[in-house]
Amino acid sequence: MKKFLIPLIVIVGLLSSCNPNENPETVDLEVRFTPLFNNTKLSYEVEPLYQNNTGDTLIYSRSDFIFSNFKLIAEDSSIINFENTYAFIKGAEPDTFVLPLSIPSGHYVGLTFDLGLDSAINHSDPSSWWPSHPLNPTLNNLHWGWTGGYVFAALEGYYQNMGVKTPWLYHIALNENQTNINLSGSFDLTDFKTLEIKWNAEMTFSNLYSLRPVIDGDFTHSSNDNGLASKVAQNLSTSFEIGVLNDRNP
Amino acid sequence: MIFFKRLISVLWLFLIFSCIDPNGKKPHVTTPYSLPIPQGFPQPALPNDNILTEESIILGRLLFYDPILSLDSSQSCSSCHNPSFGFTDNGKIYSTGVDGSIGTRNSMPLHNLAWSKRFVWDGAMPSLREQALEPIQNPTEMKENILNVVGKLENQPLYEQAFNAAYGDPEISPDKIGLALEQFMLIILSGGASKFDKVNAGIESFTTEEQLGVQLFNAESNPNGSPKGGDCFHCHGGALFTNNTIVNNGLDSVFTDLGKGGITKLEVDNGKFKTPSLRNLAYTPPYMHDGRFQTLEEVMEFYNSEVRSNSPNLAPGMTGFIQSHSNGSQGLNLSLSERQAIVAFLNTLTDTQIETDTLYQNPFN
Repeated sequence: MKKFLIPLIVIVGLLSSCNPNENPETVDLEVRFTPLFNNTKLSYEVEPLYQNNTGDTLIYSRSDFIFSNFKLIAEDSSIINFENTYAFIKGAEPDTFVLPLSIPSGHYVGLTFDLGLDSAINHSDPSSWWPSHPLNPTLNNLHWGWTGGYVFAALEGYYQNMGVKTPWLYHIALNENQTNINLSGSFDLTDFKTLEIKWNAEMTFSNLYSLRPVIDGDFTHSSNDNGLASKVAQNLSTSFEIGVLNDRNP
Repeated sequence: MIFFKRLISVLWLFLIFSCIDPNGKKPHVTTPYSLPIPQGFPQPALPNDNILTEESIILGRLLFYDPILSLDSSQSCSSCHNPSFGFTDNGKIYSTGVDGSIGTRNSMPLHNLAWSKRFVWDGAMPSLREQALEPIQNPTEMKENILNVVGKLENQPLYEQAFNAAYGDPEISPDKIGLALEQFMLIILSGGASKFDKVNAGIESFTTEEQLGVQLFNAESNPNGSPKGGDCFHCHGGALFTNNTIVNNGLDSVFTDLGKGGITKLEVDNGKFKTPSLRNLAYTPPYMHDGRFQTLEEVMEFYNSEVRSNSPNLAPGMTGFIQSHSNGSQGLNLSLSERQAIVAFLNTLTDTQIETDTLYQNPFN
């Protein structure tokens, strides 16, 4: 009898480890970014967009972001930190990024992250990042050389100024414009999922502040701009929202 | 125990026989080449399917300098990309092809291409290996059929050896030609040897004028205030002195060359050209895609006051160059001495090593 016992234990163990219904103890989370304008998928370069609140007709040609300091808020208010996770999002060609496999399986009620970088990382040696790293300047095209660290958000396009197609450019940079983004939601991360983050691009111009390029300024590199970059950053802070949560195969 | 010993013996025999080529050939061995990335440069995303080796680089260098690649064996790649001119065409506005045809764009320098994602002025080429084969077959350039090139190379024992060394097989193909030329162009670097790099390394110092030039280069446009700014660094910042984007910098209100728009057929891309690196400008006049400016002073004058605000698809990054200022004009409003200071700084980016580095020289000399 004894000689059958050990194989039996092994077989039962193998079978139980193959149970497809068992949830993993930890999961990762893929994040997908969806740029919208007035609740419609944002079309870059070509399509004129009407900003309902300001009355401006706009075109977006670029919306690139650097995010950091991701945190997931669990139902019991505990916080999962992702200290060394950075994301570069190229709005016109949005890719996904992954919060690593350290998330305890469970229910979560919030996701927070920063637009931009902490000072130490912002001013670290940009040549230290490997080619595929979100902070490699050749990859993200958001580094200003030796002078100012990274651009946290590069928003560019055109607006109609008395019938003339006129460029606008808002480059949000410098440590004072590092901006926290808090997203509330309710999502079960008991398995491997993809979470959509929507960006409402019209809110760049109308949210906490109403901004018209022709009046408030059509370009800023975040200095000597009468506070334009700060207002844009604050508008951006509540321009994101949680979208759908989909299952995915890891 | 006996069974275990036998099993080990069988495994050894298997390992020994698996290392022997059934044709009796030695395994192909190449020498890896590590690109010496200059201080402060970002790490490049080199192609994973064309790992740099000394053998392929040597082959690429032979091909680059060999006129056999052209229709009448009169021109090589180096004819229009001469290292003595920063790998450009000897100060010419446009290059002349084998049959006397004149090109339509200024020959681009070839340094630091390892950091570039799109190639040629309109960004039409997604890889160097594809770009490398284009001028060979272009009717206004080398005007040769690539299969003829393969045939001519096959008759040269030198290339049989060089292809064999690079690929472990003497067979010559267009793909292999492209890959070898890609390798040679990937290793052409400019960085570390210029005065600018030496200042950064603490070895040399800028003059007062050059120092003013640095400040203006890195300062934003401020035409109505003080200090003024040249607003150069947004597109030409970082160690590479280019952001490698393809944009319209406002040269024209009406385009005679559509640039990227000629490739994509999209109106929104008309007038867009690749932002070139500012390294080695002293070697590479004339400037712009059509070589319209003979001197850096002319370039500075353009950016100071001649950017066309009504140019279709003007890059949003050019907004600083079309600001109105108090005297009723538009532009950066830099004084002559300020413009000269920027030019003085730009000249510190000259890297004479590109002209003399034995890695880049003509192997047939």
